[in-house]
Amino acid sequence: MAPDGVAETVVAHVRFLLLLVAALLQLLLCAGAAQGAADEAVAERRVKAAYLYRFAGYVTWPDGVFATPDAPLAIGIWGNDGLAEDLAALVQSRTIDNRRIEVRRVREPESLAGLHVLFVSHARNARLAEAALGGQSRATLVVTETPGALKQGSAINFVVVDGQVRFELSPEAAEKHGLKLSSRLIAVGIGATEKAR
Amino acid sequence: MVRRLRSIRHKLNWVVLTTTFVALILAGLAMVVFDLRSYQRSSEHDLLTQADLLGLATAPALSFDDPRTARENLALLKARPSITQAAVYRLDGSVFAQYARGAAEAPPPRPLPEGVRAEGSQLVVFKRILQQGEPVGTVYLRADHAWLDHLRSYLALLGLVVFVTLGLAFLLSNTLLSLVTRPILAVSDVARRITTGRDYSLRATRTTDDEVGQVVDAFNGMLDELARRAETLEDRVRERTAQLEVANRELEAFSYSASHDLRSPLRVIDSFSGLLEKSAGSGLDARSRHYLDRIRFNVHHMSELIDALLALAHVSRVELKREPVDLAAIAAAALEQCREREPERDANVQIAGNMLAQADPALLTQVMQNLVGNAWKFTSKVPQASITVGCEAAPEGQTTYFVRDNGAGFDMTYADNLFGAFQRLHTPAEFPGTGIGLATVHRIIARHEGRIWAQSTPGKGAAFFFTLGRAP
Repeated sequence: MAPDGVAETVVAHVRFLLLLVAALLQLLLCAGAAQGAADEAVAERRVKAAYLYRFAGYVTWPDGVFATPDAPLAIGIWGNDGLAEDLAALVQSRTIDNRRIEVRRVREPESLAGLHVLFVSHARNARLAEAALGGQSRATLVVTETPGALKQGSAINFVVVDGQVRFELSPEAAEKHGLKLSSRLIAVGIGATEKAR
Repeated sequence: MVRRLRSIRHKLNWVVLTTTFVALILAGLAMVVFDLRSYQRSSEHDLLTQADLLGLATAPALSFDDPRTARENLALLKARPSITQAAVYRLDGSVFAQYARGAAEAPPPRPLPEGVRAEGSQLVVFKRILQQGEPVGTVYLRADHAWLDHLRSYLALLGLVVFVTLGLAFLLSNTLLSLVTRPILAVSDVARRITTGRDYSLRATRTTDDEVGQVVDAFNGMLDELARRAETLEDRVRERTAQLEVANRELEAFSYSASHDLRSPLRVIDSFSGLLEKSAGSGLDARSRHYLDRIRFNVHHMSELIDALLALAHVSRVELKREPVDLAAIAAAALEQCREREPERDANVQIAGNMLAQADPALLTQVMQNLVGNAWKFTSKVPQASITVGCEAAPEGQTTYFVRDNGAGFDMTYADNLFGAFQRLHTPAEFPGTGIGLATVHRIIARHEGRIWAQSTPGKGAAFFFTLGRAP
């Protein structure tokens, strides 16, 4: 019967279309999940970049570190170029105490000289000692993102708590570099309230 | 009198107190307005400062997304009981941290534009939080703004101050006003004593050097002038009275002596004309007899006139003796005389009984003879003559006596002329008379300090009323 044949053909077509749609949907969902994970990482990176910039506002460098009152403030990023890009975009039109902010991508510890803030990524944490203790890094605020880094001489260490970027501080470590952390910054660091109590 | 004396003080007190009150109220209200404004400003300023401080404190917490620290910062507001609600907003407008005293409602879901605004009795402030010149969030504070309480206590204080000040002002003005009012009251007191006591020798004492002192001087000066004038006036009156009395006495003496002296020649004429009548007897023709009759009639009339004039003069000269007099008896006697003269006349006479008075009997006899005689005379042409003598006791105790007839009467237009000497309202041809009788009656009544008046309708009779004054 001719009509039956036509109906069958139509049904087959519809099935094919449905399958196609389902496959496409699956593909989209998978891509979304991957995209979601990637988005989270990017968000965390951006927060860290913003915090790096903001830390600078709560730190007092010793006299003579800046040649002139409007000498630029240099922030070095070691081992995370994406973060360096984010930070560069963020500080492009911003200043801290009327200082322009210079973002440098650190390749080798030799180029640490002249940095006011140094971020050591998780990937480069093994070489933290060079940065934290090296003579060139005097008057440099060392910021890390590895658990336990404070004990290795880092002044501020990013920690992710409940999916939120927080940080712990070691004012003593900062002091070894001749830096003073503002009590207002210390107040918002992890453990500050516990210590106060 | 006392009320008037009080009134000037009263008025001055009013002036002082009203002025003080208005000044105090205006000054007080100005102060209240000023104070409320400055209270408002300082409250706003306080709250803004608080918001700034809070912004500074919570800026790191905002920067590093640490609401717990922000909440701890806000919790410090416990030290400020007036702040009932506080919140910190993120840059995107969501609530970052909040604080409430007691069970306050939730903060506004979104921050409003920056600034202070009053909501009822509360002040609300929104303030941006800046970090490195960049806004990082907004602080929100809500505080009790007790301006109503403030206003109430300020007004209460103002009321108290006004009340106390008015009280003090009253006491003070009362004391100080006596400086002004005492001399005025002294003058007014002297004026009052002068008007009530008629003692023009009183003088006000000058105690001040101001306008009141001038008034006192002027017042005393006027009193002096008044006294001087009164004195000269009295002197003049005395002088004139004395002159008048002398002139009056002279006139009376003259008329008396004239009347008296006129009598003897008249008597001579009378006796000789009588002798002539006797001797000539029937020898006289009718015309000569008529002439002689006219002479004798007029001599008789003149004699009557002279008698009347002498009686009138006598009334003024004789001493008044008051004793109980029965006017009814006197009137009856007078009527009897009239009847004797014209026994052919018939008249209906009514005399009230018991008309006693304190008066001179001889003079009152003259009064009754004149009044009753007049009544008799003027009813002569009436067919049925009627004469009534009576009295009416007035409520004040003064008795009015009257003699009423139904005779010719007179025109009331001429009532004023009735009691003048030689004033006659009828011609001698109508009714004979001297024209002196009522003048004599008038003078007698006047000597008794009484009053006499008449009422009449022409053709219907006349009534004469008189009083006799008070017996001493």
